[in-house]
Amino acid sequence: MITSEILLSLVSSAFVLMIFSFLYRDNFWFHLASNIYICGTAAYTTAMALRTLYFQGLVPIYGGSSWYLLALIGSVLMFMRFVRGYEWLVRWPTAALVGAGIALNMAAAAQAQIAAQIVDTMKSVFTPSITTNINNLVIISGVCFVTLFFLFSKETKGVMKPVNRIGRCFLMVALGSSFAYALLGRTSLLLERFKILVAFPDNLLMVLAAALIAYDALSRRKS
Amino acid sequence: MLKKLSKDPRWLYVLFLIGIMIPLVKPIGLPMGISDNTRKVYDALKSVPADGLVFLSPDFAVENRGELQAMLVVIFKTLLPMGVKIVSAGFYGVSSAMLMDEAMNTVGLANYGKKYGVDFVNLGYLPGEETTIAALGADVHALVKVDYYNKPISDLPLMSRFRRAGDVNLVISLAAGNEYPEKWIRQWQVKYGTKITGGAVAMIYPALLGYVASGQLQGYLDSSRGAAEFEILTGNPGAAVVTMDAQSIGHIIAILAIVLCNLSYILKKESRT
Amino acid sequence: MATILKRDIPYVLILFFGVVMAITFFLKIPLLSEFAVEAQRLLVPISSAAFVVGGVSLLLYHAARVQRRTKDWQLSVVSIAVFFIFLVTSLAPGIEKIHTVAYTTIVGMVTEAMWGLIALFMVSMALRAFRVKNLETFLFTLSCVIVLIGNAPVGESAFPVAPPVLKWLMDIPTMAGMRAMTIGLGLGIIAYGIRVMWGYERAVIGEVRREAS
Repeated sequence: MITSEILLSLVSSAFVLMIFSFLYRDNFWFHLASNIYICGTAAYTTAMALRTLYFQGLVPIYGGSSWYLLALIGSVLMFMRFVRGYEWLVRWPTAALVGAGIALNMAAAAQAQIAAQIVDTMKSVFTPSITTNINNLVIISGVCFVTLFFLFSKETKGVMKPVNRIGRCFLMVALGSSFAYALLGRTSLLLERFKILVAFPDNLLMVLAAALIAYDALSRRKS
Repeated sequence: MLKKLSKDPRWLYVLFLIGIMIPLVKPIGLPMGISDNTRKVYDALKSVPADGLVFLSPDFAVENRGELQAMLVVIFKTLLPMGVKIVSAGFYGVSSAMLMDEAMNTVGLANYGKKYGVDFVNLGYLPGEETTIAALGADVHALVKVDYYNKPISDLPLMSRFRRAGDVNLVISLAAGNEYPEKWIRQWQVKYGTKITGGAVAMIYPALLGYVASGQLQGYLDSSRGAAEFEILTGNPGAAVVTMDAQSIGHIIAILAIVLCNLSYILKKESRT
Repeated sequence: MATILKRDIPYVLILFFGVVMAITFFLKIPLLSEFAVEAQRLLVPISSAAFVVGGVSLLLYHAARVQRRTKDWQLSVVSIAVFFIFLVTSLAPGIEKIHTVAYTTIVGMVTEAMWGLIALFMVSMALRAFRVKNLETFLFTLSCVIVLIGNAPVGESAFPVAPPVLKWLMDIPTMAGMRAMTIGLGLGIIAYGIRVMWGYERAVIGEVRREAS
């Protein structure tokens, strides 16, 4: 008996297979699924933003908080983007957002991303344990060499040549690990989809998709 | 075979897909170790006092569900029996609050004798990114009026004790982008000294190690592997553990691809000389 | 007058909000702190309005494609219909369940599938581009292989030395490299922030530099 859960599972598996069909070749079904995804996400984001505008923009005004009129004016100015000749009015609320956002980022970055990281890098290389000393030396030199590597205003000659080379080596180790972790993450997402696709009745859709691809490949070869 | 694979990568895709499907159908059940970072996260959770308040932030969307949803569920399952109160809000995207709701339904508050509004509140999605996180830390009730289900927060008993960042013992951020733990560190940890822990997708995990080493983060779980380790550590084996065997096959195929690439490069070089 | 309204006022707003927020982060001045908290609350609905503008822009793009009957314009018709269905179901009271089901069934699964595809492209890239030509590429490949072996249960069983090597690799050289990138990023944020506040970054307010003809 086909329950609503089975039907929903089949529908979602069909959409997933439409996306995976891109691995075979670019096709209409892939574009259909991706367009539905983009517009569905955009619609939900728009809906939630409208809800926020209402609850955190209009409701406080009804409650008597007149300062929120400024927020309402700012929100209306955002929509001037669609009024020909008055697009420049968008710059005012955007400027307020950018100014506040960048200051919050800057102020906190100085503490969290620079000061705290530098303080933790300055470890002792004269501890009783030789392995700790070596490890701390590797950390200090790695951070220094990679930071110097990013100093693009200095020409790579003389003493900067070996400094840049060592910095590049540390960077390659870090980026190699990042690549592997990225692969790990994406494989997890793939597995999440396949966990559903290998189970009945979704595996029937997979067999159908494989048959359609095989048929298309054979007919292309013939022609 | 090398030429075939290099010319048409679709054969590699078929090999990879078949390879990862086999353990899903017939699991191998290989043993797995627990990393230090996972133990740090566990210790951070256990250090919250019985009447403490935890802020759980699913900073990810549906596209990261495969890596982080199992982590969210197991953390939720670990927190509920401890007696701590949990408030949740999402900042990454509109679906983050939906995923919290899904996790709540999967775990079932009633199974732990807990009640919504008393032991757990979902504030929904709060747009505005870092500005909102900063504003939330200063005054919760001025920023948030209703929860995810449109109930006024004044009607929820738990919200009477959550007014600012200082009321929270621990923030757990499950992040899809490394800017999220950084935002929590910048706006809550630096300003109010709040402890931060959580988990991240595999891609950004290496970027957070510096913060773990400096103590700004109390450990961080690494994607589905971290979730599987946490499930084993807490005795709650679930969705993450099941996929580890298939993950192994995927990694083996990737390593084989690297070896084949270099083999073909060496053979080409030799044939030229 | 036009220059004052279109360029100078936005720069003054950036500088004003930037300086006030930065000062209140480091100094506890009661009046300024109250203003900063209130300003942060007022900016939340404005940033929400930006999201709505994005949604409307997408609709207008698809509407233009339908009007001009461009290639695959029928897809744009479907896109507009899907947009309104999702918009109505997520806003209308009483039918949120339909929206949740539709969102998790279709959008959620498609998103995961799209991101999962990248794994296959990465493996294909590993097959074609991971050539060890010098020390840097050797280190890149070696660290990649160590992470892949160390994170897989089968790797741990086959190479018991893999987990401690992975731990050392992640805790020492990788952490050093990533930390340097974090510091560089922090310096870049500050440098860029100062450039924006002083008005050197015109693109921030949407001003496009005109090419000399």
